[in-house]
Amino acid sequence: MIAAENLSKKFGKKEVLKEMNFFIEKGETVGVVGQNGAGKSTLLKIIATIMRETSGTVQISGMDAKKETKKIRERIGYVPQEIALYHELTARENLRFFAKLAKSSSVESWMKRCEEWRLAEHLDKKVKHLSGGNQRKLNILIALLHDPDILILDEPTVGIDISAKQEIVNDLRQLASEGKTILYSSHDAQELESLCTSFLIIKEGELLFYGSKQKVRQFGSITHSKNFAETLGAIVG
Amino acid sequence: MVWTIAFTRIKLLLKSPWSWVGLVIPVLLLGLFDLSVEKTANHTKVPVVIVDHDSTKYSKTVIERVSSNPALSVTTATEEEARNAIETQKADVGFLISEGFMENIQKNEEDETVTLWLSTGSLSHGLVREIFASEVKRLSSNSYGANTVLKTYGKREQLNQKEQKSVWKEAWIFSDQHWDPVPLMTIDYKVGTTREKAQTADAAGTSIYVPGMLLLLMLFTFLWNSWPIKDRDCGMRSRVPYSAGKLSVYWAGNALGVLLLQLELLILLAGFGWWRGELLLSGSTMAVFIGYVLFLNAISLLFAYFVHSHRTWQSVTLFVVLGTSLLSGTFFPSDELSIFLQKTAQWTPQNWVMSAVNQGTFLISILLIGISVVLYGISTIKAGDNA
Repeated sequence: MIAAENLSKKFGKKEVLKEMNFFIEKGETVGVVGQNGAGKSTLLKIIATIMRETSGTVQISGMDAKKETKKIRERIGYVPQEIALYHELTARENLRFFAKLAKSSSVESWMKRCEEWRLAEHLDKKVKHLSGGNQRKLNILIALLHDPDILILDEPTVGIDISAKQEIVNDLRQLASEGKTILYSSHDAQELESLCTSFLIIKEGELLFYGSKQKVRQFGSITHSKNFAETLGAIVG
Repeated sequence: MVWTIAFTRIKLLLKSPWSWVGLVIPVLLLGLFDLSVEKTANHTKVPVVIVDHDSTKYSKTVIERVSSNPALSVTTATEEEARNAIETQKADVGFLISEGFMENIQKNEEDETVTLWLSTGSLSHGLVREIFASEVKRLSSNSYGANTVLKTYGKREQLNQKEQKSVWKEAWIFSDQHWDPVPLMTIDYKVGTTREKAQTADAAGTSIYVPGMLLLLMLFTFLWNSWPIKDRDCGMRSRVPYSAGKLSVYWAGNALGVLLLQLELLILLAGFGWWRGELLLSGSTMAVFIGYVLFLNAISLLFAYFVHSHRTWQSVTLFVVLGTSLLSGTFFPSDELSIFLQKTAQWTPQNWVMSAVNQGTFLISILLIGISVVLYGISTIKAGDNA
C-alpha cells in the first residue's frame, strides 16, 4: 500500500531522513515513533504529498507520489499537529467549508459519524469554544470528509486530557476496523500500544526499526524491559 | 472553489467586530476630518456683519454674493447687534445697506448708499470693502447698461411702458452675464510658486479627501491581508490548499475575499467623497482607484508571505502606511520636503494615483494592474514553495 524506497530528505545541508525503505500493508495501523526532531513529521508530510523528498521514491497503491499527487491526495486524509480549523467559525461551518473543498457529500451525511464521535451536540459552537478533545476530534473528522483509504495523523492528541485521548484512540480503532490504513505519530507509549499493530521507529532520520507489535515485545523480553513504554524507550534510545 | 474560499475569508474577517468598524470608521473619519477642516477654515475667514435696511431683491443679491466669497464669514444682523459686533471686535467689518438702495442703484447713484463700519483691530477691511464694492458695482453697472440701452433704443423705437420694462430687463441680464464666471474688473494671473518646481493651479487646489481616502484604503488592506500569518500559525496554510487540491486556489480565493471587502470600502469612500463634492468621478478616476486597490492587495499579500509574526506585521503596516502617506503629502505638502524626499515621493503609489486623478489618464491604472499581476504571481510561487 505505502512503499518507500531510498527515501531521503535534506533541508539545506542537514539530512533529516536518510535512505529509508519500508512497505506498509493495507489496513495496518502503524505507530511512527521517535524523539523530537527525529524526522517523524517530515516523513508523514512526504507520504501525504505535502512535502517533496530530496531523493528516493514514495508509492501509494502503486502510484508515484511525485507524479500523481492529486490522485494520491484523494486517497489520503492528513491530520496536522496543529488544530487546523477556523476558530472563529462553528464546527458545522468548518465541516461545510472543507466538505465543499473536498467536493464531498454534505455535512448532514456525516451526522452519523458526528454522533458516534459525540460531536453532534457541539456542531453549532464556535471552534474556539469547544473543549480541547472536541477540537482534536473535529480536526480528525475533517480529514475524513472525502472518505480516504489512508489516514495520516501527526501527534493528534497533544495537549488533551487522558479521557479525551482515550476517546480519540477508541474512535481511531473503529476507523481501523473499517479497513483504513493509519499512520499515527505520538510520544504516548500507552496510546501507541493500544492502537497500533506495527511500529516504524526513527532515530536522527534513520529507520531504526519497522515491524509488528509482537516484534517490539520480543525485543522487550531480550532487553528485560518492564513494559511496552520501556521497550520503545530502549529502542528509541 | 475559489468563491467558497473567498466568501469564507469575508465571513472570517466580518466575524471580528474590528472588521465591521473597519468598513464604517474610514468613512466617519473622513467625514469628521472634512467637518473639522471646514470648522478650522471658518476661523480663518474675515468676520463681516451686514445690516439690510432696504430688504429688496438687490440688497439680498449683494448679501448672498458676498456671503458666497470663501474669504468671508458673513452674518446678517440688526443695526444694534451689528454695532455691538464691531465694538466687541466679533466682526472686522460691518455694512449697513440703507433704505432706497435698490432705487438708487437703478439710477446709478451708488455713492453713500452703503455705510461702512470698521473694527479697531481690522487688518483686512481693504479686501472686504473691495469685495462688497464689486458686488454693488455689478448691480450698478448692469443698471447703467440697461438705462443706456433704454435711453438710446427706447427713444428711437418709441416703446410703450411694458416694452420698456422688458427691454430694460433684457439689457440688465445681458450686462450681468458678463460678470460670470469671473468679475469684469479682473485679469487672469499666471499662478507662480515660491519654489523652483512649477505647479499647476489645478494640482494646488486638490482636496485632502483623496489622499486621506488612499491612506485608509492602504491601512485596511494591510490589516485585512494578515490572513497568511494567521493561517500559518494554525496550520490552515497547508490544510486548505491540501483540501482544495492547489495552493493557487487557496491563495487566489483568500485574495479575492479581501479584494471584495476593499472594493466595498472603495465604493463607500468614493461615494461619500462624490456626495460631499470632494471627488469628481470619471472613468479614469475609477480605473486608477481599482488599479490602486488591486496593487495594495497584491503587495500586502507578498509582504505577508515574508512576515512570520503579528507584531512584525503591525510594524510593517505602520511603516508602509505612514511612510508612503507622509512622503506623498497626505499630512503636509510634499513641497516642504527635501529634494531627495520629493524624488522618493514620486515612487509612492499614492503619488501615482494622485497624478492619474489630476491628469485623467488611464496609463497609471494599466501600470498598477500590470504590477499587481506580477506581484500576485511572485507571492503565489513563493507561498507554494513553503506551504
